[in-house]
Amino acid sequence: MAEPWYWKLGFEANPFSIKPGSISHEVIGHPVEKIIAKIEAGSVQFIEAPHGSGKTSVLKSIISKFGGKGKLIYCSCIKDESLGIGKLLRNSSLVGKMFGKMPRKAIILVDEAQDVSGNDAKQFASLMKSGNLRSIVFFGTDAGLPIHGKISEPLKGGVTALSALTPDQSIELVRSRVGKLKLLPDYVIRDLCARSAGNPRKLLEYCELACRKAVEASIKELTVSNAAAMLKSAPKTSAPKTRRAR
Amino acid sequence: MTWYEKQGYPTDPFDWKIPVAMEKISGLGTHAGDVTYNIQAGNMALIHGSEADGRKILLLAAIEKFRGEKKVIYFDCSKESVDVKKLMQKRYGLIGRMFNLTPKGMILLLDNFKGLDAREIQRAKHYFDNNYLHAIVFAGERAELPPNISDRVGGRIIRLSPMTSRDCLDLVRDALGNLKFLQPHVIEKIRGKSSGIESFLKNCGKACAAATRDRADVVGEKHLAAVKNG
Repeated sequence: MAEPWYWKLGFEANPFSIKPGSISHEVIGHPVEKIIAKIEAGSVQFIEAPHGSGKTSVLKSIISKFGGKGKLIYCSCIKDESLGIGKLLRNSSLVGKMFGKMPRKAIILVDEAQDVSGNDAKQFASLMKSGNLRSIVFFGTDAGLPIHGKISEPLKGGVTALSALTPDQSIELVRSRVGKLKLLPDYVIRDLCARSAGNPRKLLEYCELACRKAVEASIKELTVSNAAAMLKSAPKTSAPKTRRAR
Repeated sequence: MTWYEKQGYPTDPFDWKIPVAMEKISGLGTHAGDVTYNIQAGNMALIHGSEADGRKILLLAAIEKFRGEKKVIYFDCSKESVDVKKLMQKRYGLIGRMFNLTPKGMILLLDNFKGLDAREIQRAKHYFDNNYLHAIVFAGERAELPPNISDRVGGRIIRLSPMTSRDCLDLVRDALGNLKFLQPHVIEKIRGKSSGIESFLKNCGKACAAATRDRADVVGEKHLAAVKNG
């Protein structure tokens, strides 16, 4: 089996892994602390961003910060399928599992929330009213879709749109993965940030592709032009949509 | 006596061999390298193309490469329904199922992923995001991937192209040593009747067997009657 490029650079594993929280639970460029403060205050909020913007990383960071305390429940929606929230809540504790008792003041994190069904949205609203849930955080690509007008009234925590990475944040993200890697200078990262329209997943993918090809071609330090040549086959990312004011 | 023994070959020259196909079909070796890389690097990747273009060969080659680590799960989703959780827990056998144990760092190869249930595909995504699955390789058409999976795959798409006339000539030349018994114009006709690499090689064998039975010096068009489409 051929040696992958990252071994040649001294990394044990692919430093540009796109798995959320695979390297660290620290999230660059997103307001995790604000989201946590809203959770603790007891609210319903929606974290809105396109695919690859870091929603699941934020979600995993929240899970790691709560560290199993505070009745935190995580679920992920699938289009046209019910979440079975009642069962999910009952199964969240041993007492619930044994006696069918619903927890009080639980926090629920709902991933892929653009696919929440109308019935589930209604159930969330009623569980908030009854006090079984004290806070809900939806993570999805479109806050307008999933609510179906059923839970919009108690959406007091508002909608937080995750913004695209700035060039400086992109450098910070890449440096957190590879340190001061000579192969990938800051000005090339800035260029890759522009190409990926500030989308962290795309940025990591482009960094991986550029570094892989550079190592294969025995290039010691990438320039904007040879990084561009290496990404020639990569599809262009369109700029993110303008955020809606809420 | 078999046709190939009569022709002086100790074994069936068209016996299906992955390494030969890898070497002779243009681009397949590079594609196999890409599949291996994406698995090693812990990515989600897609082999885009039809089964006839060598999709299965790439997956089989990946199994061959990583099988020693006992971490590879291969599943053809067109054959039966998949329960990703059960597939994962099988690694720990009965104990895994009893205690709900999920192994870490597995490799999932999903052929014909179109047949996979939406719930299972999202479950696979969950296992990937949480590192229970080190890498996932889907085989099929990109358009059939849900948006959140397609985004994770990104540009890691291994595009297969159909087998060319040149590839077929190389395969036959490699198998028989020359193109005297099975000549290029007949090879081209066999290619037209074959749906993929495996069926092409089988059909070559059938045509050669028919010609040998007929005591012909070369495979002629009349021997192609033994070759079925597909």
